[in-house]
Amino acid sequence: MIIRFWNPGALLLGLLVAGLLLAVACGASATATPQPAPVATQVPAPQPTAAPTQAATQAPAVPTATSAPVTRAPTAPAVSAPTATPAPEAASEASTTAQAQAKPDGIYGGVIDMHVAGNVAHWNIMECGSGGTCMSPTSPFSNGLVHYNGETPEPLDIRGDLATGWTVSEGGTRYIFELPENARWHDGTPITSDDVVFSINEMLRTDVPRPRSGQIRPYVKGVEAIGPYQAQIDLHFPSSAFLAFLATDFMKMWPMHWVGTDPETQRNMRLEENILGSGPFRMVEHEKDVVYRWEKNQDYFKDGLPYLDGMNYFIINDSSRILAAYKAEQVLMTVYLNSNMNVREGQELQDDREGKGRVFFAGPTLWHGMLINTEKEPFTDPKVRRALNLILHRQAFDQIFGAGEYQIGSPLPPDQWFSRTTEEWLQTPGLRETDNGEKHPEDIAEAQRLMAEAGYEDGFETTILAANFLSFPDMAQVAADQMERWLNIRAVVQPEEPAAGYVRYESSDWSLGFHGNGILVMDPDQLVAGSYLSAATRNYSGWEPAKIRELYDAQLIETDTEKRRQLVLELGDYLAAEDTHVVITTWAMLVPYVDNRIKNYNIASGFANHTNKEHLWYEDN
Amino acid sequence: MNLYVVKRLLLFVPTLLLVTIIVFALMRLIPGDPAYLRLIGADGDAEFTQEQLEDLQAQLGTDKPLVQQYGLWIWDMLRGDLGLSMIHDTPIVDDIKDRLPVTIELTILSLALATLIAVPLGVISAVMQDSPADYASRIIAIAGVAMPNFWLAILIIIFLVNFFGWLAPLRYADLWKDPLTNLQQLIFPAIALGFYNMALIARVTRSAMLEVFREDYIRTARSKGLNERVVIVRHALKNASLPVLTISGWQIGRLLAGTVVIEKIFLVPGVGRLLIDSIFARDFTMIQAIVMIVATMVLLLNLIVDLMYGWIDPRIRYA
Amino acid sequence: MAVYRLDQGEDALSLPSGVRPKPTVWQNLVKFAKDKPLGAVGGAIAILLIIVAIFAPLIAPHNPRITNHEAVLAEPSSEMFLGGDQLGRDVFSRLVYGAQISLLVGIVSVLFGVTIGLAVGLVSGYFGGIVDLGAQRVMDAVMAFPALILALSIMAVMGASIINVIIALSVVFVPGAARTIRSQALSIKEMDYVLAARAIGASDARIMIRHMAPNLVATYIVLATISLGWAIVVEASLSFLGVGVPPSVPTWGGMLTGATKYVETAWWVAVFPGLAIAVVVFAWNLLGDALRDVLDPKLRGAS
Repeated sequence: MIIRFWNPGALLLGLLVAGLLLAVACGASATATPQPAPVATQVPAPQPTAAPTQAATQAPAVPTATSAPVTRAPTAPAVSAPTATPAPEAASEASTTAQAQAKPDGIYGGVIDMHVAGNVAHWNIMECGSGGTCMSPTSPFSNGLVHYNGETPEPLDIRGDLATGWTVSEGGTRYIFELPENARWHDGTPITSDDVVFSINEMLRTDVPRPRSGQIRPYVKGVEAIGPYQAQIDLHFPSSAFLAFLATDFMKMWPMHWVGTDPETQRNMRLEENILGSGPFRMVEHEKDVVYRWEKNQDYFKDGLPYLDGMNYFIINDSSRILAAYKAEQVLMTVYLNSNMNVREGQELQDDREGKGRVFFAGPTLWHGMLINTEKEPFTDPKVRRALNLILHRQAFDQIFGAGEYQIGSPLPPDQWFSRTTEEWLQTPGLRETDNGEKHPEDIAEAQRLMAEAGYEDGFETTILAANFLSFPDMAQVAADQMERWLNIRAVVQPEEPAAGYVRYESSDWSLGFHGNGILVMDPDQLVAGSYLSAATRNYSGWEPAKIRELYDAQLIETDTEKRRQLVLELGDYLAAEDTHVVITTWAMLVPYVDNRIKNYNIASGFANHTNKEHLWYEDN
Repeated sequence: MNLYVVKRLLLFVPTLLLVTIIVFALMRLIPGDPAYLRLIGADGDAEFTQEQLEDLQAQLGTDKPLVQQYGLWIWDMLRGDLGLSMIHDTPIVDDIKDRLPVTIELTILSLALATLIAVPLGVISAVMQDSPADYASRIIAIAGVAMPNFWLAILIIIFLVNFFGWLAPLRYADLWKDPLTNLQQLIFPAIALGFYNMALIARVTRSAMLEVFREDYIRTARSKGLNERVVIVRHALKNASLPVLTISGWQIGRLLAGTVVIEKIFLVPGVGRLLIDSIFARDFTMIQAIVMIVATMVLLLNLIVDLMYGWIDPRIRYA
Repeated sequence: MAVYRLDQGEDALSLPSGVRPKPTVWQNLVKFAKDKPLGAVGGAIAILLIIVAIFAPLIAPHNPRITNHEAVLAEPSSEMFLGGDQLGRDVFSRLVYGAQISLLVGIVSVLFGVTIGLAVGLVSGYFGGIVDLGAQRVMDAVMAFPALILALSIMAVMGASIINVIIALSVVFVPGAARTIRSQALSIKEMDYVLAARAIGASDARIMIRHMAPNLVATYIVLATISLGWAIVVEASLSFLGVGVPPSVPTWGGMLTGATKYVETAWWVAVFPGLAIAVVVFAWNLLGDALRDVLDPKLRGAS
């Protein structure tokens, strides 16, 4: 698509082949005219609630910074809507119609080259836990019941995807979804409510892994088809978090006739040959380590969509090459929020592109932190864990990796309605620093005292496992340096490829680790269950004090917002002051990039939103 | 002569067998069960049961005794079946079929480039022995041997991106369908890869030329009053080309290894990149197949070079 | 052409005794420098490198592992001669300490590899027959694996650590050394003094160690010097790929991992470590070439 007038490859070829001077290669100049586009856009985190009447919910508008420096986002207003109860008016009958995409005026179409950071792990979206290795390549050919609207920057705008609309009744516990009658699977079979019932039941299964799609389990009581194109979902209790989860790109519908209902004889949906979706694109080629090629689904049930004729997802798993690939316009955008770049790299790219594209700093969408194997000596001793929690200098991590733009590494994300404010956390032991920006001496002294009490005044030797992903090995080196400087803990950093690293985590063959965890929906249920309960994604040693479970269970069913808030605050304080299995260093941002020639792009509010790309198109400036 | 060929061929078989044993032993020492790796998923948060694990082990054959696994592997290879990728379940042959030509093209291109530059450099160096030109070309040659290829690759990328804002398109163009794009994609990797060999060939050319110059027939040719250019090209270079060719043959193994780094940096979809990605993904069957193919290629090539050498120069005998 | 001989004792390089008074070590060095100016330059750089590696704690102005969030990608200054890296560590200090790793890994693995190669080649060449055949098949098989691929596979199996890098590199150097030594051993075996020793009933071990090995020392030194440059490059490649020495240990290859990232804002991160590798390997190659010409011209072209 982009052919340069003066392309050094052709230049060199010309020199070699002809042995003459500057042979000019093919094509017309495609130097883009720089546009005064918004350069840095700070994006709010996924918000807890799309209340059933999402049209009524007023979310804060996205601030659009027009100057290059990243400005810290007012990510989440302190009192945003809580999840356990819907707003009173939502309890009444509410009806929503969606799929409101109208064909925009002007040119649309084109094929876009995009960047994805890794190969597909498998194609089973139900069994998928990862944004990069299964969700993003699955999304273009699938539909959920509902999804986040990619055509507005509004983070809470949930629209029908497969559903044309839905009604909420029974005090917010009954959802009835209407399906279009013209929707077809890619093999031509009509999509009916039976497919929806089948898919929701698949998500609810407990005999097979459901790392993300299973997140709707706590809410859903049952699902049934009440007409060929009407599906009804009943909840245990009114919860707007349900819809927020359902709209993420992990909750996709499956064709019942193709997959099969008998668990014994079902197709293995992990395999590429068994892909069958309904979505806006069909995959026409997949070359491992190189590319996924997509072509427009000509029979898509949404009239006029997708706008694009096709997409190429280029797999670039070497993080040092990503910047170069964007700078040289080998790829024009990131497939989902994670480009594997950190803020500094994003800033360099932003400067280099001179307004030809936008670098987004989206967050906080994940935490970075040091995992502790609580089953292994000497970390079985809570005193040692407490010392580690006190000693890491969070602000240094923020400066080095986030250029000062990340948020403080409190156990729960700061400034959310269920957590303390940044100012409050900055006073907390372990998180505070001196006026001139150094680690607080009292925290160092306390950590040293705890180590001496535990019998390690001379420190010890240990290892830090770090998957080669998102700068984790570099972060582990900073942690190792800080632990050695103040506690004389000599830690060897062990970088591992993600797959090998996970095996070591699972088999308890590790002591310390440096890792991160993406947040699907900014809600206490997800944060605590996903990070601190014994079954949490990164809680590999199964650490779970009775106190944590108690507080989690209590807040899950608490209907009073303020009471629930107090419970979660107490939980956060326990993690900060008493014990934890992970020392969170920063609440971080993901840094996607989008070229200005890509139109109708709006930054997603979470890493699992806006990934089917049906609303984008390409246009030369 | 025939006896030598037969002997050399007979020795090839046990060597190949030893290669298979080394490859197999190496891969089975890797910590981590491939069945487990696959169930746990790339993000490592998938759940599964012991039963599923055992089923998959049975399916992959990793529950069998090692000797049996080895035997099956050899038997499959003899039938031309490289098996399935342990991680992706796809036939390995498909991947290799797509990737091997790319790597071979890259290797040949870099060797050709290296030879094109190195031979004139070596000749100049030899003809103008101990002149500043000789010293300059010798320093270039030794510097080439010293310069790590991955650093050169990094510098090339930095140069292209910062001065031209250009890198070759990512979608790999087939040599026969779009040769221009294909060459654009491979020319810079080939330079980075072949720089070392350029230096080496230049050195060997120089010393071979110097040796030939001392031979009687060159003196004779010169004393006959032949044009110096004719002496160099017709006589000296022709006779000096034998050791140069041999060196080039032997260097292909090193070039193939170099593709691992170069293909990774330049994102070339060849076997080298497939190998490094497979090593990191612990895709045992894939690693086995690639290492096997590379080793077999190197062995075969050396066999051919040896046989040719013995045929061209009858003084050489297999000791 | 000057004649050198390598005897045991401190007069390592000396003219045949009896002709003239033995020149001192210094005289030999001066002669070497005159005959082989490039080799002498290489030798000087190599010695400088060894000094830097030994006295690294005195030379490096900063602790190479201390991260500093106020010096991330800091420009070269009087405080940090070659600037700061992406974690705010001093690039110059890391280069100085990196010399330790490069040399340690290089020298130890070459010594192991070439020594094992010497033993295999000697035994193989001396006994011949089935021993020779078997040993040579194994060496052929190992040689079929290109060095980097063999080292990568070994590292993948054993994990990243200095010891494992040394083991992987040692394995890589064995077959080449064994091959060269074997061909030398084959000719030495037929020498009069070996035949004489055998005639008076000396044991095989004694003949190999006392009579043959000393005559292979020159070859050994040349092989080791030439291999060292290659060892440094392979170590750097492994570290660059992320399967070598653990990253908190400063290595030149490891410093180049991800070096393309900050090129416009911090070119020093990508340039100096690469330059260090190139200069040092260059120096060892110059020295190796010169030593080969001087000690063992027969090895010409054997590298």
